[in-house]
Amino acid sequence: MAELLMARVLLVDDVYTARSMIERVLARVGGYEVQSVGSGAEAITAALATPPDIIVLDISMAGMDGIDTLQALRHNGLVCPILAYTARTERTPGEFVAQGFDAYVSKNGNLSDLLATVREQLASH
Amino acid sequence: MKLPSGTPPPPPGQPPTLLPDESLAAELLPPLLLSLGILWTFVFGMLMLARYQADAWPYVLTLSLLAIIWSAASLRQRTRLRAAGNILAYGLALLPLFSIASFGFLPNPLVYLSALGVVAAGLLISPGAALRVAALALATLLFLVLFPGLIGQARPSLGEALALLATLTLLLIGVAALIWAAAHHVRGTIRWAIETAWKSERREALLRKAQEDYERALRERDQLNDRLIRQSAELDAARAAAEAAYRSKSNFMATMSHELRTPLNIIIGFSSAMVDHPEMYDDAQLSPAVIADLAEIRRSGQHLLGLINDILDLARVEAGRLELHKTAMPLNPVFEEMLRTAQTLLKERPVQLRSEFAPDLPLVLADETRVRQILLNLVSNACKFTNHGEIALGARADTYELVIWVRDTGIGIDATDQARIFNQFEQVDSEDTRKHTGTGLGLAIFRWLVELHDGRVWLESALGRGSIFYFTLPRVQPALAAGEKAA
Repeated sequence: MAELLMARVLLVDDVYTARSMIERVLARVGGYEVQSVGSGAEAITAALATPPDIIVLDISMAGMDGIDTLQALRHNGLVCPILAYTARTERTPGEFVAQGFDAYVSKNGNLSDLLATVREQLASH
Repeated sequence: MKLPSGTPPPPPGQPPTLLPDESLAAELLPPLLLSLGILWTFVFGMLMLARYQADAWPYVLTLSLLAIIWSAASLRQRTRLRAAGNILAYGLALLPLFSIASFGFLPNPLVYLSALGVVAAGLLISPGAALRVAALALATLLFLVLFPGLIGQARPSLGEALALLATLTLLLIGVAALIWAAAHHVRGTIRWAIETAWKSERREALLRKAQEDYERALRERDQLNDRLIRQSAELDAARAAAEAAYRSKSNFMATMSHELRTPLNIIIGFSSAMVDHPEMYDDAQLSPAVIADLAEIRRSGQHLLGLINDILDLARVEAGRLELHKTAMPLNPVFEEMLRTAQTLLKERPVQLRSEFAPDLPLVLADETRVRQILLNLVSNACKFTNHGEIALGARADTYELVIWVRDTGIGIDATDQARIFNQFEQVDSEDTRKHTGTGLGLAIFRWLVELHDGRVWLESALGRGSIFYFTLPRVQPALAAGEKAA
């Protein structure tokens, strides 16, 4: 339990308001230590500097999008679980998993879904 | 001007030209007249010198010759060449015969001069005329033989008469025949030449006309070519403009899609956070009234998100941009999920849920997300409009497709409305539907999505009793299924 509470979460989303809200949810409700960045490039730098326990990754970002960021992170040797967190509905959950994500959470659902999935992923890794 | 017999008529509009016969006559007459004039001068001079007084006939004949020469010359002056030829020919043929008056029948060398007249007729008039003149001269001779004393001639003996007649006949007819044959041949050649000339002129005219037509056709073709090039250019420009517009619309839709969803997700997200996890807000105690209102905000936000998704879907479908990621998918898990969702939507209402499908339905070739979307649409509609009774979700496997239905015992749809509801933006207008907020787009998208899967949709419904929405999805063919299993 103690490990979970101190788990480090890296949050990547390029929309400031969304990022700050989700950071607050993860920190206040989930109790995690959250670091949030605004782009794929920053995410790689941050992840390499202090490796997180789980990464919550927005898909639709300008510049380096979620898929590219995922591939770059894996390429750099990061093995922690990476969540796809997105409002886009074009792809099915199965496709995200095929791309290399460990899980998929839709922004259209409730925040509880995100918390539950983060907890699940941390528990199983 | 009389044409030689047998020659074709000249083409219309041709200027009158001297025909060969006439030009021959025109060429022959001057030297002929000149030589006759000289002859006459010689004869008359001789007569005067010799003081011939035996009888008047030589003077008559000489003067007649003079008259003939003079009239022929004057006619030639007035280009009445045919008349001139006639006078000369007939004159030269008949005049020598009258010398019989002075010199008798035999020996009279002068009578044979009438052969000149026959030749003159053949050359100056026509080949046929030679024969006519010969016949006339012979007839005149015969006359003079048979009727002595007409011009003071003595009666000839039978032998003389026969000799003269025979010789002159041979001479005149022979000459006429020879002239006729020669002229006929010449005639034929001339006629052929004239015909050929006219034919070639006609051909030339046709050729000119054909050339003009050809040039006109070439000009038209050039004009058409220019027009074609211009239209091709316009077409290319139009196509480029259309593609640019299409691309910008696609970009617009992609951008709008993201732009619209982002703020909505924040509305939904924050209101969710406030409702579900008020502990985030520094333990501020939110009153139940505030939380209830926040819940409304969240519900509206989710509803708006649904509307936007529908609109963007429909826009994508219309632009032909809705892409399906078809796979061989099993339906049973989706059906189970839908039944669970229906249970949640129905909450405490007295509606029974039934499943009418086998546990091992065959695979269908479809886009999983879209199938979910379709079923969610139908199931949530059923839940919305049914307050008691049952809602059933079922499927049946046919040879090439799966028939799927969602049945409810809800308010039903009127017959006139049934045709309309699949059209976009049309919602059944009634008390019940106005009570329920909903979008009219859902069923239109439902039909589009099914048809994009090569399926069909249809509806059975009765007002007040309920509805059954049917649709089909294509089954996965064995080869494909085997491939999927292998993968």
